Amino acid sequence: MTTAGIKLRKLSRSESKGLLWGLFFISPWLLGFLGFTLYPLIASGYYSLTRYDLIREPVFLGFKNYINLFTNDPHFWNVMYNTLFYVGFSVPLGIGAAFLIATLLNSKIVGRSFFRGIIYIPSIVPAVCSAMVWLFLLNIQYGAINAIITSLGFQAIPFLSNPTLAKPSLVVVSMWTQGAAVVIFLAALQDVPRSLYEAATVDGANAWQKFRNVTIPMTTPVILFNLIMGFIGAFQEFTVPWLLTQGGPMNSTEFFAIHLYRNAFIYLRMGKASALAWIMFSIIVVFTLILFRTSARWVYYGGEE
Amino acid sequence: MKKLNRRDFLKMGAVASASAVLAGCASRPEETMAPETGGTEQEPAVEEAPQTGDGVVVTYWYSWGNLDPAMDAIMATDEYKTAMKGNTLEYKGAVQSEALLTAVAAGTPPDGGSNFDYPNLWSRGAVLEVTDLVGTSAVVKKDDIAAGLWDGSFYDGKMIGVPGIEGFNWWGMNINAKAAEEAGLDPNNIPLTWEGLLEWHEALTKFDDAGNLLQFGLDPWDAMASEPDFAATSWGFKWWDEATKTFDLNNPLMAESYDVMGQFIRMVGPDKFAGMRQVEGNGTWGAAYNAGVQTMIMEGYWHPGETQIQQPDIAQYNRSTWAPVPESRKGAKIMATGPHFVQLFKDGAHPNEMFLFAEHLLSGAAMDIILKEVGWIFGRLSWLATVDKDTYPGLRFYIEATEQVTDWIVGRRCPIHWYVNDQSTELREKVYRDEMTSKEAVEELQARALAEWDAQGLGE
Repeated sequence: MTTAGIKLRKLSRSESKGLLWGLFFISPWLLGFLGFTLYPLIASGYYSLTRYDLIREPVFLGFKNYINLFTNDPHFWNVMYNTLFYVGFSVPLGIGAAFLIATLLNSKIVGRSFFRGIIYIPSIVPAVCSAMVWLFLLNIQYGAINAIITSLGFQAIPFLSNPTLAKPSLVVVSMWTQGAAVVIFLAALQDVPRSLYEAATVDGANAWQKFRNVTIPMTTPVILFNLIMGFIGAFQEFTVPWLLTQGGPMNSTEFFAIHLYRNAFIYLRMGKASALAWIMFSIIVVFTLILFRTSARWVYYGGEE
Repeated sequence: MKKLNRRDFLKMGAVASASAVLAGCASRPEETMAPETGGTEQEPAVEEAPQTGDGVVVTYWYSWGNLDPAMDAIMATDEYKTAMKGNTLEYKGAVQSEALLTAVAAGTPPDGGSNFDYPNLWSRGAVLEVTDLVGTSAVVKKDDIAAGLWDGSFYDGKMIGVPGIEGFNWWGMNINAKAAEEAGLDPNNIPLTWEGLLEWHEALTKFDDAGNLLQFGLDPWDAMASEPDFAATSWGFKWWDEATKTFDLNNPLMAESYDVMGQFIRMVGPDKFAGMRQVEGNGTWGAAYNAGVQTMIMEGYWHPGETQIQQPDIAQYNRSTWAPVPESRKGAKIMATGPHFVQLFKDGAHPNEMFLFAEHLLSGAAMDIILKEVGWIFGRLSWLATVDKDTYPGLRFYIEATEQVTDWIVGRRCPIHWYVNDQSTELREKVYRDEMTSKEAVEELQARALAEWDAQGLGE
């Protein structure tokens, strides 16, 4: 055992042999982790301290990339604002929508299995395909939604081509792919003991009170999980915004991951891109820690004493 | 048959993984060094390249997907087989630059590549200088290649790739004659100034009763006109001096170009234009023109052929003429050129064999196929003389323009061309959306270009 407070003891010959076999057995994963996760992680940390363009040898700069990003970069703070706007709206709205849909799908409605399947389908559609669908739904010139709007005699709405509307439009698009969260919520809802609802009924609780005082508290661990996964995913969002707006109009949808990609592979600023990656990583870590720290106040674990 | 238990399975998995890692660490077979050095760094010692005819596999990556049908046809010809001298070409089209850069960084690039960012790859030392190799060629000859294309093949006095595939005159104004006639305009008398074009733009732009855009004249920053090279040449200044490696973006003429070209956007509406670009950006170059929604577009030698192949019912009305200049420069006939190349990668295994194919792309057999399948031409003079100038509507203008052009540049020469282009796109949008003045925009553009140049260490 290596847990804190317990003294390490020497392994016996058979235990050492067992450990070696164990390492040998997990070596496919271990090698993959070392080669494709740990090494890139360390390498990007090093590159973030250099000027590196993928072709020439890196030149060590110290923390210059970080300092320049925070003090001189013409886009950094705009990118940060765009990303926080997107995360701040898409995650809570997405989770709220997923929770409500899961609640509806947990009730006894006709065609429940059919609706459960339908809700999950967007999550298994490749992001590129769904982006193309949304492009031809929302485009001001050729979009299906605008075709309906204009056929009624109204002006087309520039969902994706106006700097003010583009970010909210992408938030709406993000809510379309909540199938995975819905499935997880559904599993949690089905796990809420019936006895609690029965007790609430006996106490005279109405439907809203049961939802507020039984359903939500009992599913808070899953809400926390979906919140964390949602935050991480939203901070890293790339494919759909890139395909729909490529960061425009007027940089209004230039999110962190898009800015990182642009610097790495279009401007060949791999050192700066690595610094951006580490800043993004740090922000995600801080957000996750805050969520965990505050979770003691609002997350209920049935197994806790 | 022995049953595979869990322990055996895990053992096999571990052994397979370890073997894969070891195999990945092994050196590549048939490793040869480049015949010439290139780029900004000192190359390792040159070794003798293998004699051609060894039957090696030569890898060639192409950035776009357009060439694929032509490549299939080219590689099926006897001329190709003879030219390759027993070697095999492994062609890959639509290769993203990320894939190429990763391969370059890993030391495993293809032998040759085309339509990537040529000056960028050169200035960072990823590709070979081919001056001497071309000097030995019986096919790639200075006196048989249009002067602009030949001159455009050099950077810092060194040839950075083998010119070919496509390349000729850029920047012609192409209009849909049918739409012009319907608007009461004379398609045989297309205005050659921005002021005149704005009147055409207004006449060709149509809205429905609800104010929705049905058709428009010119997106002044669509296709080739988007890049700073174009505005600079139209207004008559140089934003990038290759000799001194200095920028002149904070120029009143650049600011004027933002204001004048921005009028075309304002007339239609910035949101409507942005929407058009989002669709076009995810489609093909000039898709709005092909769709008949856009009636004027600034493009180049490829436009007549590509339009014919992609949308013949629009191509039949295509007319091409000179790109516009301001009233103060009336009479100036501007054009640019820039060859496409087959660049030979420094770490490529078979530069000599790759060169055989680069040479073959300049053969009549290959260029005829490319013209037919893709619609592109290349300025090899002896071949160009055999081309029917009326193969595609508007092609004649591009072929004959060489004799009449007054202001000529080789385009896309700055190593941070695409960075400047992106910044210019963002800043001019702020101008026509009234978030900053054109003067402020060009000041900011200059500052960003200088900062990026320094940050990339290109001035060292």
